[in-house]
Amino acid sequence: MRTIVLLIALSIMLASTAGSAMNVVGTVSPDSAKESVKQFMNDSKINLNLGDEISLPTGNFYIVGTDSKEFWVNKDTGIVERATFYSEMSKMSDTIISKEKCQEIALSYAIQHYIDFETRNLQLNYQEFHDTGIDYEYTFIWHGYQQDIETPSFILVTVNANTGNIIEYVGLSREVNVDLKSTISSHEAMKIASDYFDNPYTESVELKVVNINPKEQHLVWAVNIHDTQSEDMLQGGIVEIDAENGKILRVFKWL
Amino acid sequence: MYPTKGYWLWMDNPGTLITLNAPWADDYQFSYEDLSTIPTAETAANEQSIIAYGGMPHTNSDASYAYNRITNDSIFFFNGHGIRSRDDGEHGGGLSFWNGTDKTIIAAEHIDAPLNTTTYYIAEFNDQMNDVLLAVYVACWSGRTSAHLGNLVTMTHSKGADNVIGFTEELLNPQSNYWSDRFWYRCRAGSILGTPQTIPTAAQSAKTDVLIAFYPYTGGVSSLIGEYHSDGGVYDYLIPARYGTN
Repeated sequence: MRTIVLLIALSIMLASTAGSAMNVVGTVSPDSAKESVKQFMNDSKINLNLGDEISLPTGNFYIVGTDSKEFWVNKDTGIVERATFYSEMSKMSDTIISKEKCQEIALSYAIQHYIDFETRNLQLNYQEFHDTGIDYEYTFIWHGYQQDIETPSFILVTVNANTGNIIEYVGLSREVNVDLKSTISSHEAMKIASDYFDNPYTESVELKVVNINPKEQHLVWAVNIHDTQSEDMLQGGIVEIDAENGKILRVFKWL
Repeated sequence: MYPTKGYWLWMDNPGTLITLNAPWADDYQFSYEDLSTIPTAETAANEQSIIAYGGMPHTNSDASYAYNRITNDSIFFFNGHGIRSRDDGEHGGGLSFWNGTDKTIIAAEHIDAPLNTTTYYIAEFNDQMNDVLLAVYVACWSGRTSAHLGNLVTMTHSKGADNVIGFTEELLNPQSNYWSDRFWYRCRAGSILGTPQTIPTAAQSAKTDVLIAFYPYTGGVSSLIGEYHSDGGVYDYLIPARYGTN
C-alpha cells in the first residue's frame, strides 16, 4: 500500500510540474536567484528573466534565463545547478575534437562551478559521444560516492565536439544524511524485488542513497529485474528496497 | 510559405489566421497489464491543441487504427511497449499496440522471422508520410535497428516524415512519461520567455529534465536519437501548426 501511495504521490508531483509554473516554498528570493546566475556566469550585466518554478524529488528550482540560456537555481541554497547554452547546440563541421580534450574542458568547467568538487568523491563513469542530429557532443558524468555507495551528488558536462564550448552543465551536491549501513542483505532485497514480478531474473543489485523528495533520503537496494514471461515485450524494472526495513519504496518498470 | 494539405487557413481580420481544420495530431497511450502510459497522450494532445493542432488522445488502440491514420497525421505520438526478440537479442524495429485483449504491431519493415502477431509495416508506404511533420516513438529500442524488423526512425524519415524521434535503449516508466510531458511542453512554450524550442532542442532538453528529476535512474532516455529536418526554418518547430514539408 505504501508503495502505491508513494508512486501516486511521485506521479502527481511530476505531472503537476511537467509544464505549468507552481509555487514552491524556498528560502531564496527570485532576485537572489538571478544574482546567483550572474555570479555563476561572472557577468553582472546579463539580462535575466524568471521562468517557471519546478519541484522535483531532487530539489526545488527557479528557472531563470535569457532566450538562449537556461539556468536552474536551487530554491533552498541559491546554487545554480543547471546551465544550458542553447546557442552552442550547432553542428559546425565534421571535424571532431578528441575525447581527451573535451574531457579536459569538461573537467575544468566542473571544477570551476561545482563547489563541492573536492569533497564528494566524484568518479567519472559515463563518457559518451553523441550525434544528436543538431550537434556532435561529448557528455561526461561524474557520480558521487561515500563509502563506495552512490550518493545523490553528481555532475554532468556536455561539450560541443566541434567548438569545445560548453553546451550544458548540471551539478547537484547533496549531503548524505542517512546511515550507510544496510540492515537488509542484497539477497533479501533481491528476494523482495523478485516477488514483485512473475518469472523474474535479477540482472544487478546495487546500494544507493536516493532522494525521494528534497527533504527525504533513503539508503536503498536498487534491484534491476527482467521478466522472462512476456514473449515480445520487455517486462520487469528497477525496484527500490529500503535497506533499513525491506519495504518497497519505488518501482520503475521497463517500457 | 506553409503547406495547406488537408487543412485551410482563413484570414478573418488582416493579420489573424483562424484554423478551420486543424492538422491532425494522434497521440497513443496504453494501459498494459504491467504498466500504464496514461495520461501522456492527453498531456500531448492538450499541448498540441493550444498551438492549433487537432490533438486527439487514444487509449488502447489497435495498430490497424493508427496505421490507417498515420499518413494523414501531422503529428504521430506513441508511448508504449517496444518489441524484443525472444531468441537472438535483436530488439527494436516496432511498436506494440494493446487494445486490452490483443496485441498488434507497427514495425519498420519485414526482413525475416515474421512475428506471430498481426503486424503493419511502414515500409509498405510509398511517400505517403510526407504530411507527417513529427513522429515520436517513445518505446524501448524504438530507434534501434533490428535484423528482423528494421529501424523505425530511419524508415519513417525515408517515407517523408520531417522529424522522427526514437530511443535505442530500453526505457523506464515513469521516466519516459516525464520525458514526453516535458518534450511537448518545451516544443510549445520553451522554458523562460515562452519562446517555443525547436523539436531537437526540446528533445535534448527534456532528456536533462529527466536526469534531474529521477537521478540516478535516467531510464534510458539518454539513448534518444532523431532524424530532423533541421534547416533552421519553420519545419524545425511545431509552431505554427502545419503539415510536413512535401
